[in-house]
Parts: sequence; structure tokens; C-alpha cells
Amino acid sequence: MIDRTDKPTAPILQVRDLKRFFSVSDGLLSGTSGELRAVDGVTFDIKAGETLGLVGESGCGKSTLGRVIARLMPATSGEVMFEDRDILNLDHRTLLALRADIQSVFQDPFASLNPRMTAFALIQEPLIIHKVGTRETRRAKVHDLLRTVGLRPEFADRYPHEFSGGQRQRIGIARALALEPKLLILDEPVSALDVSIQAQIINLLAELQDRLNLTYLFISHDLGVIQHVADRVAVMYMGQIVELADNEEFYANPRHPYSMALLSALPLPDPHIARDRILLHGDLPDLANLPDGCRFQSRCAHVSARCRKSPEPPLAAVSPGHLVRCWNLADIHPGADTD
Amino acid sequence: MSDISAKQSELAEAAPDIPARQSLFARLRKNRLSLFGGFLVLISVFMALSAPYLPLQDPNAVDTSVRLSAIGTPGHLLGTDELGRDIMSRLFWGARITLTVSLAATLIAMITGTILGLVSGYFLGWTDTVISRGVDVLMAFPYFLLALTVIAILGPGLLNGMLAIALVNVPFFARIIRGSTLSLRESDFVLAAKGMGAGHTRILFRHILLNSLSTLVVATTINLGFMITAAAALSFLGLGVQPPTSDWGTMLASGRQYLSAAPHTSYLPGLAIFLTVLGFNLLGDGLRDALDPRMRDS
Repeated sequence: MIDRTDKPTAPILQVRDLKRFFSVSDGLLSGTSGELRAVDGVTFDIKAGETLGLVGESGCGKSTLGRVIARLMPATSGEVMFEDRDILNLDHRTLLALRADIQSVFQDPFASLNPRMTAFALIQEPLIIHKVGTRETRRAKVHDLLRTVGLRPEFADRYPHEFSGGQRQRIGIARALALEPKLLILDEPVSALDVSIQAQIINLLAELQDRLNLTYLFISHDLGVIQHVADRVAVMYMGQIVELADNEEFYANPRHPYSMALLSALPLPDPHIARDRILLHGDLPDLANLPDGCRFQSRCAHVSARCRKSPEPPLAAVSPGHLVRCWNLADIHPGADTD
Repeated sequence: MSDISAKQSELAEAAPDIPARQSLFARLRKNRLSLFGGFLVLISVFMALSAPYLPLQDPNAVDTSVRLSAIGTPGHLLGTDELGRDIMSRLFWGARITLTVSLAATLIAMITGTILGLVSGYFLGWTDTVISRGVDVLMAFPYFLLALTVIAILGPGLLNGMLAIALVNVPFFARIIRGSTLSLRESDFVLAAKGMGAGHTRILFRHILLNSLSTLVVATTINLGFMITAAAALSFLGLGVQPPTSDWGTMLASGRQYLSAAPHTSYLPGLAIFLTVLGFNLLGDGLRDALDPRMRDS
């Protein structure tokens, strides 16, 4: 199990009202076009040394959020502070320095490695771009990194297709670690792997976090994986965070109807435990044409008149550190003390 | 925690040992058809390179007493043409011109087309619009008409003919490379390269071009065959090489008038063109298989 004690509390990353819209056009001839609100007003902190798990179904904007934070795509508006740097407004040089501090690991361990480069060239590339060391010291460093992620240095001259999926993901992790980053954006790092290999990679990531004092933004659609790795959990729905809480609190006491539905779908290892599955009905709203009020109204079992009118419910604290975006918490959880 | 990582490393290392990678040639050799293609190409290259060193007769020495002599005539192994010039010698010397012109034209077309394709496919926007529409304009003209127009402007001759056929083949490369750039620029490894701070040049050449290389090699080899036909066609029309120098195209053109009396005067250069083009095409296919690392060791 992962040790969750002794984590420092200073935020390393502060995201404030971050938005990322994509423009969509209705076709070649009609002039009208809309905006697809992939990330729509996201606010959260990540503390140094912790793992924030970001869950949500596909298309909810979690990967877009990760990519905006890693400066792989521009933001539409909002503010992202990494340590004391406003990372959305950096010039060329300071952006390069930031890239050394924030690195990403991608979902598909094959697509994210250039098939024409050897493991050595792949891991060395960030060092060359950032002009780190000499040829000899870089060589030693790459071999160190290979050992760090559990690969033999003799594998260095092989091409990605000569490795298994898990090994390729280890190369991706070694490459992300090459510049000694502080924050790793792990974008579904184990989703493309077999379950047995998932456990290996998760354990490797946990071990690296302890050893190298890394902070993780762990993006996944798998609540089981998130429960295992995350210190805190953020649930995303339609471009917004709908619930944010500590790991134990979230899994024991989910408040948002969406989180409750997601958790009820999580398989339990004991077949004798009966559980009420909450099935979601209704369709996802169109991200380019959102309804007034709460975004979850079309699928929510507890929907009320207030949910269908502007404004949207705010992300409000129900207890210290536990934020939920819902109007009807008192009705859904009678007896629970809410503000 | 440490025993977990020990177990992990063990698992990670348990992958099957993969035999050392073979050289390009060893991989190419396994493909018989491409080996044959390479052999044909090698013959034409040998002909071109060895012409000055072999005891061949002067390719331009006219001897009307032996004009149109048949294959096997003593002193003229492959016979003579309508002016009594030795066909074998002319084939060897003609190979130099034909191959040089097509190789140079292909290289010009490839480099220009590749750069245009990379830039338009990567930067998109107005850059792409300008380049792609220019390429479209070139493609809108019938292929040979455009080459003839260029020659009409520049005047006939070896160099101008080369430039003309190079220009009309630029769209071929630009389109292919733009297409592969468009898909590669969206790939995760390009995103990863951006994430580590790689500049445009590095992404374009180390990531996109490197992964378009097998496409480019195949396109180049096949285009070479095409260029040989184009160069021969220009010469055939008298717009390429100017007399007395001659390549396979001009030989074909002059032999045409004696097709029934002395067919070998045209089918020998025709055969040379055919086999060389075939050779380049077969070699191109084989190279594609050999250059793709995913095809290795399988």
C-alpha cells in the first residue's frame, strides 16, 4: 500500500478558473460556429509531494486539462501558477525552464515513443534539448534512468517495437524523469496496459514519487486505480470539477450524485456484498450547447427545478477539504451536515 | 517497497531476448524480387560508370558503310544504328546521361517537394494554403504539357529538360510528405517532443521527417523509374539531350524510323529503359519493407 503520511502541504500548482474552449464550425457553408467547452472554469491546488487523482468519463475534459497545465496546448482563460510562475504567460526561455519542471507521461506507450528512435535516443532527447551535460555524462544518466525504471541498460539500443507495453511505458517514464521534473502529469498512464502490468507500473510510480519527491496529477477513468494511488480525488464532469475530496473521505462518503453513481459501478472484490447500482439515464449534454443550470441535470436522479435554471451550482465546501457542486445535497444526504 | 521493485525489475527483464538487428542489406537480401530489382539497377549504374573505362568504340563515330548492321556483327556486338554508330557503346554512354538526368531531377523534385510538404503540413494556416494551392496549380496541368511549356520558356537542352521534369514532379513529393506530416504532427510522440521543449526544426526533422523516411525512399525510388521514362520521352521528342550526345530516348527516337528494317535499333534502348525502370520499382518495394523497423525480424 502507498504511504500517505508525512506529505508536505504547500501547493506546488494552483489552477484558477481555467478554461479551454475549442471552436466548432457547423459545416462548410453555414457561417455559424460555436465553442466546445472542454475545460470550463476549473479551480484546484496540488500540494507538493501529493498525488491528485483526476477521474471522469471519456470526453469530460480531463486530458485537455492535463495538456493545458503541461503547456501542450494553450488555455482560453484562467490562471495556472506553478510554484511562483504564472505558466500561461511565459516567454520562450522561461517556458523551456518550466518544461523541465513539468513533464507528461502519455496513455499509449507505443504512440508516445518515436518508433525510429532507440530507447537511448528517446531518453536522451530531453537532455539534448535542454543542453544537459556532455555526451559521456548523458550516456551515464540515461543508463541510470533505465535502471531507475527497472530496465536493463543493455536494452538501450533497442527500438520501441522490441519492448512490451509495460516496458515501453517504463521508457516513457524514464524520459519524463530525465529532466528531474517536480510535477508529472500522468495522463492515463496505465489504461493501455494489462491489469498485471498496471500494478507494476503503479508501484513503480509510487516508489519513484517517494524516492524523487515527485508530485503527480494522475488522470484516469478507473476509480479503482485512483483509489490506490491518489491522496485526493477530483471528479470531472463536462469540463468542470463536481467533487473534490481526500481519498478516504471520497470513497467512504461521496456526495455528488455523479460520484455516487460512478462509485456504485466500481467492482468489489467480494461477491457476497450486495450493492445498489445507481444507473445513469439520459444523455450527455452537448458541450457546445450547454443547458441552463446544472450540467448533470439530464442524468441526475435527484434533479429539481432549481437545477434547471441559471446559475450553475457552485463548487462549495461541505466539510473542510471536501468540495461538491450540487444544489440538493440536503435532500440527497438528509442527516449529513452540510453548510 | 524495495522487494517490490526487485520483483518488478525481474518481471521487466523477463521479456524474450530479441536477436540483434540485421543490417539493411541482409534484410533486403531476403526479398528475392527486390534483389532482382537491385541487380537491374546495379547493371545500369555499372554501365554508366564504366563507359569511359571499357574498350568501347567512340559512340559518335559515324561509319555509313556498316549502317543498320544486325546484332552479332563482328566488331559491333549489338549492331549499329542508321549512321553506323556502335549500339553497345551508345547504350553504355547513353546510360550516363539518362541516369544522371533522372537522378538529378528526382533529387531536385524530392528536396523541394519534401520541404514544401513538411512546411505546409506542419504549420498549416496560410502557409499551407499558399503552398497547397501552388501545388494544385502545378497538378492541374497535364503532366507532359507542363514540362513542354517549361522547355518552351527555357529553351531545349539537357539542363532545362532536367529542370522541367523536376518541376512537374515536385507536387508528387509535396503531396506525399504533406499527407504524412499531417498525421504525424498529431501523434503522441510529437506532443511529447513539444512537452520536453523541442523546437520546430527538431520536431520537423527528427520526428516527422524521420518517420516519413520509408515513404520517401519508396517514393524516390519509384519516381526515379518514372523520371527515366520522362527524360527518355523528352529526348525522344528532341527537347532533352542535343545531338551528337545521345541518351536512350534519342536512340529510341532515331531507331523508330527503321522499326521494320532494323528493329534492334529501337528495342535495345527500349529494353534498357524498361529494365531500369522495372529495377527501380522492384527495389523501391523491397526498400520499403526493409526500412520499416516494424517489419524487422518478422
